[in-house]
Amino acid sequence: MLLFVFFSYAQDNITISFTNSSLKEIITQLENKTSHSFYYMDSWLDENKITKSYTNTPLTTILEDLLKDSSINYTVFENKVILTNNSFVYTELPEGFFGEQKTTVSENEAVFYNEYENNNLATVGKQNNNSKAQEFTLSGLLLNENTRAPIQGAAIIIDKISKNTTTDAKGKFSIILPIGKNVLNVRLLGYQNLVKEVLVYGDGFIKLAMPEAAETLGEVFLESAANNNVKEAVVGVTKIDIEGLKTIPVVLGERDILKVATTLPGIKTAGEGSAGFNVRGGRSDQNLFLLDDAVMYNPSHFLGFFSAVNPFATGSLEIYKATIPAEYGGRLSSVFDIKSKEPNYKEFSGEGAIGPITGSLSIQTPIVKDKIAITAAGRATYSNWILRSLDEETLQNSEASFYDGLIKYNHKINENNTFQATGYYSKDKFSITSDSTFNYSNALASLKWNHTFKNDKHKSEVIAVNTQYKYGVDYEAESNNNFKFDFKINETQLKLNLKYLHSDTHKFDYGVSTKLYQVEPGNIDPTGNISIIVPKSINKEKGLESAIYISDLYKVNEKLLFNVGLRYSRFASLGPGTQNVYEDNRPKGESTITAVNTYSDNETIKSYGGLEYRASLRYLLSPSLSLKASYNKTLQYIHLLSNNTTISPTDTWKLSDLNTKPQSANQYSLGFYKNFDDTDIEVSLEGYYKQMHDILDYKIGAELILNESLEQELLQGEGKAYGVEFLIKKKKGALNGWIGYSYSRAFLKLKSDIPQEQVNNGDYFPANYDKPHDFSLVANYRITKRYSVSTNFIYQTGRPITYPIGKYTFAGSEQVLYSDRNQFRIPDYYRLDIGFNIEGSHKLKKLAHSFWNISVYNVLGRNNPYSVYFANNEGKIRAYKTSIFSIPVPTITYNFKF
Amino acid sequence: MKATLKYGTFFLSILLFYNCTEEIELETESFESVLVVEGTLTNEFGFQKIKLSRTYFLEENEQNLENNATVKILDSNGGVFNFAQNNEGIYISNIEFKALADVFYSLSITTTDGKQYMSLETELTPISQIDNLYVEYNSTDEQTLVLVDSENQSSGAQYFRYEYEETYKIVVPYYSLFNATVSNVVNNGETFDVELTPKLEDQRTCYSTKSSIGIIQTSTNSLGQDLVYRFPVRSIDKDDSKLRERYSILVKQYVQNLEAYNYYKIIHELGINESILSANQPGYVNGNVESLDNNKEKVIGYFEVSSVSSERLFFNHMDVNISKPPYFYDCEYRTDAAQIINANRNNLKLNYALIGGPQIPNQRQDLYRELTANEPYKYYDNNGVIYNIVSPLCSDCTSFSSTIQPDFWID
Repeated sequence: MLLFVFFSYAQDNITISFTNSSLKEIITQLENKTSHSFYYMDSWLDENKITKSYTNTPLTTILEDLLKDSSINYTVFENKVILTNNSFVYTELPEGFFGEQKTTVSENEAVFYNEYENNNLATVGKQNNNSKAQEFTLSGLLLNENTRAPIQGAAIIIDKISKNTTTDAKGKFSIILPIGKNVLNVRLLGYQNLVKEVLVYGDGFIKLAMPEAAETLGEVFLESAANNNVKEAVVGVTKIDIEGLKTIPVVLGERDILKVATTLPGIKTAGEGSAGFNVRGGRSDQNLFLLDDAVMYNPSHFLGFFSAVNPFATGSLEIYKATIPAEYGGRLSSVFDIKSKEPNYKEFSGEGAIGPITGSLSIQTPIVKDKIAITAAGRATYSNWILRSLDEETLQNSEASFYDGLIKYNHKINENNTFQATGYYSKDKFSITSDSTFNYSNALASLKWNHTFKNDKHKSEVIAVNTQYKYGVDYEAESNNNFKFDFKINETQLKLNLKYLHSDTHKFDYGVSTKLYQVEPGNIDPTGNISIIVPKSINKEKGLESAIYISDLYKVNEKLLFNVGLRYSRFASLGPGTQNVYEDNRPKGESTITAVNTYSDNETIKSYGGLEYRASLRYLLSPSLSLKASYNKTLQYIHLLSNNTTISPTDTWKLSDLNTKPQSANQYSLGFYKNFDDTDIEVSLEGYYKQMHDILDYKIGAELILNESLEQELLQGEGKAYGVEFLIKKKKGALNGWIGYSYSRAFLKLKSDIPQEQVNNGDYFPANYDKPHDFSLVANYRITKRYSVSTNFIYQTGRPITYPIGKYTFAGSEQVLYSDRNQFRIPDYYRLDIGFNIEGSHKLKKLAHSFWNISVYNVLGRNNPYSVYFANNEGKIRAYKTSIFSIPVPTITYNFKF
Repeated sequence: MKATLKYGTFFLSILLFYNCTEEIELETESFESVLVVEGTLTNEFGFQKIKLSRTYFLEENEQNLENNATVKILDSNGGVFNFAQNNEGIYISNIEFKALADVFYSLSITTTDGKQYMSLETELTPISQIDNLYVEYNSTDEQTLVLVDSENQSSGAQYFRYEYEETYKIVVPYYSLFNATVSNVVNNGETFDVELTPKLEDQRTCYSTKSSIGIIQTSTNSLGQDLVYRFPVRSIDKDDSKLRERYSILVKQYVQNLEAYNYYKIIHELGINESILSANQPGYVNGNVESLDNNKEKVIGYFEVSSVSSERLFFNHMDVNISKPPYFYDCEYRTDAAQIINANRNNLKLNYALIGGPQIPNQRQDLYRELTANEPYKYYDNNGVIYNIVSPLCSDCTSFSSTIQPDFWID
């Protein structure tokens, strides 16, 4: 439909007023007051209520005023008022309309093209008859059609002009498009592809809704939205989408995002069943685990066999192992940013699983449709019930149970304000020996208020979180030393994040945060009547960590993109407390204390601070090949005390103080990223070098619990790590999955002038988690729509151990003389898992979709040594090898979705 | 229901016993010969002892002694105490002496290859007494416990190491006053005579003494009072044969200083492994003896100056109201249903007349072989030509112990 309007006249002035009227009502009034007829489509007019009055005003002025905030243009022509949505009605023909085109920009389609019949066509921007611009910025919002939740990470591709972008965490995107018709292809795994034609007339906004894909099998869940890995400036970031986890073979039927994370290059654990992750040669306390912005101190259940977040309550996981965004701090090596599942604003839905160890259920439901919705999820073991019903006496007294629960509340207050609250609790209880019971719990609360400022260029996020991690040991034996021990850490953080989308070239993120730590390092109390254990309580520790940060996403040109961030953090260790002062260059011990300082409440004991640089750049060598480089500096003021080679739930956290310095790290990374579009294959190669300072270690046999002068047992040394990581992913097709390989090394150096404070003569030695070769294959093959097989294969160099280099007799008993630390290795590790997945039928009307997973863990029955150790038996030394799951472990899990 | 339970049990057992621990062969991958010093100078007047040895291969079982070293203890008053090796390889002081309070002592070692070692100076620890040494039976664990009380409020002693020496009486269950010998042997035992001769020495009652193995320590550091209370120095299983007749234990309590206590504790902890899933970081621990030539050289061990106190206790199974434990070896006579085949090789009834045939053993041959063996079986009884002979373990305690009654023994 083409409209040509030649002249318009403002006729008589009008006096009119209306209260709380919709535009449509106003138009009716105007039609009555004047002789004009209005032409428009009802759907263009919104329901906003307007209260206004005009006295003796020309019609055009009234229309101008009324429509200024809408996408509607108007044209007054004779006694008709023609309203048009988005397109401006040209009152004269464009230059060269009948002749040759002067413009050099290729217009995608006729500018005048305005096919209202085409439902799939959207028009964007008001046509401005003064505009000579040939390119406009299209910004938009992508929502899930069902839940109306924003979709993150979707690719928006405009094939014709080879442009693309992705949606951010709020589902928003922005892209520069040539004037005229453009075809947007929106793609994201788990959703149906969306094709939208957009007629671009000017800068504008579009809202898109994407339907979820009917549940399909065999989706690759390792998500990096199309070309993201090539386009983003961030180095070393991994996104894991929980949805696809279900097809990966698992041990004992538990889906586990963190386990999957370890199949990616650069993320390791010391061994099966050891809690704690080592990212790029970092210690296991150097990872910041966040669940909806709240720190999780122990992200695993049952000694690391399961991750503490119910997979059905998890929405996404992003791992930053090189470039850590400036808003995060306090840990050296990585950020694991876990987001809980977004609630469903439209309808009730749920998911669950029944496995051999646990049952879990997660539901999403709207409370007020399109306004308030919640997610609630829970998971628990039934092992205790089984244990008690057993005849075996030794097992009846055993404990092995855990549970976790999460509630998330989302409230869309209005267009510009949303509020989110999350509560999470997990608890573990188990006994390893007959006389002691361990328990630990995480409690998290997180509140977040998002606000978008009127002009849409500024956004803010106010976050308040609290975390409490506790553990306890109950010891009950036939003696006078029964006790109860507990440890507690509590942290509260307030954070203000601001975003300023300055321009296409500069996008700023900045903010401030402050965090209060309160640590109860240990309390012991006697239990029973005869216990002579004296209640003892180690002085509480208190600290305040504050930071201010800014980062700029600076687009120099199409090829070069910088992400430059700067963070200044400051930590103050606060009283009340006492601190020992030691003689310089003497071993820290009772005899070298020169003074004991006492501090009053909130008095600063010692403060540390520093600048943390977070810089990275991306350079596009070709549209599908990029080079990225980054430099990252991090500081850490809280340390995990663990005298074990692997992390254990009884490890305690300690704040920096007078005698314990903060840890720091510098990491340099360089990477190449290549996408092969036609085959959906992504390849990346990253290298890094990392230096660490003041890494915590301990004297051999250190007493870390209930020690009032803990600093006497601590050593602080240097660390260095380097490596090359290779990842190839195939994201689609019947066969999909990835192969990761890394060659990486991690070393520590504990050098001192004092022999007792030195390890391996002060030379670099391999860290406990130094595993040079690490290969993983995760593959999934879809046989039919309902059946698929999947497999994991893992190979790793055996971890270093300290091996005996001789025996000796001491106190009538044989003892072992150990080598220098970590001079030997346990045999290499490898494991093959196979899973078979059967999907229930895809009938739409079915009450629940079901899904069976049958998997066999360690098919080869490889007896992978977890540790080799030496123990004294009747005065003779014997060597033992421990392995976990040395036999194939089959499991069946039933999953359902409604 | 049954099936479900089985299924549950299966996974549970994997979960609870997810780890599989197996013993593997000890193999030395690389070896370092290191000097090991065990030196405890005490305040007990007498010949003082220092033990020197070296590390040995993991596959070996014999301690390597460090021989012919020059060993002396120097005190801060200028005194020098020289040591010389005895025939067991232990270095014994040339004169009797004891450690005195407020004097610093150090140990000096020069090995035959000329390497010099020196301990840090150390002084006598606070003096403490064992106030009470007593025995109790714990029916839950079915253990007989030897417990120590020691009150140290005034002395300030906080760290203790214990050694014990246990002596127990052995009475063999199958004793005869006669020995059996063979004579008139024809054709390697085809025929022979059995002669009974009276035993010349008593082999019925013996006394064995064993020293404690390993490091036994306690501290009152974490307790309210400086009180060692009911500390179990030794626990003996209810079926332990040592309690069968009469048992004596000598408990020595050494007071340690914090550094020595920690050193022994770490050595001890490195030798045990309580939780396999979270093994302690092993490594080399610095003691207080250093090489003067090369400060990177490893030296194992500790020189400490400890106050010592000791106490002896006698008891047997009746004192703790438990039934008599079985003998050290299985000596009971057992046979098959036909009463022909001996079921326990330690106690045989052999019929001289039985010379074998289809499915019938040649007991005459067996009798001859056992009576003429290197460690011959002992005669116990006979019923005509059916001889009851028993292994020396059941009839002659000198085969594994000694008949000499210790001086301190009180029956």
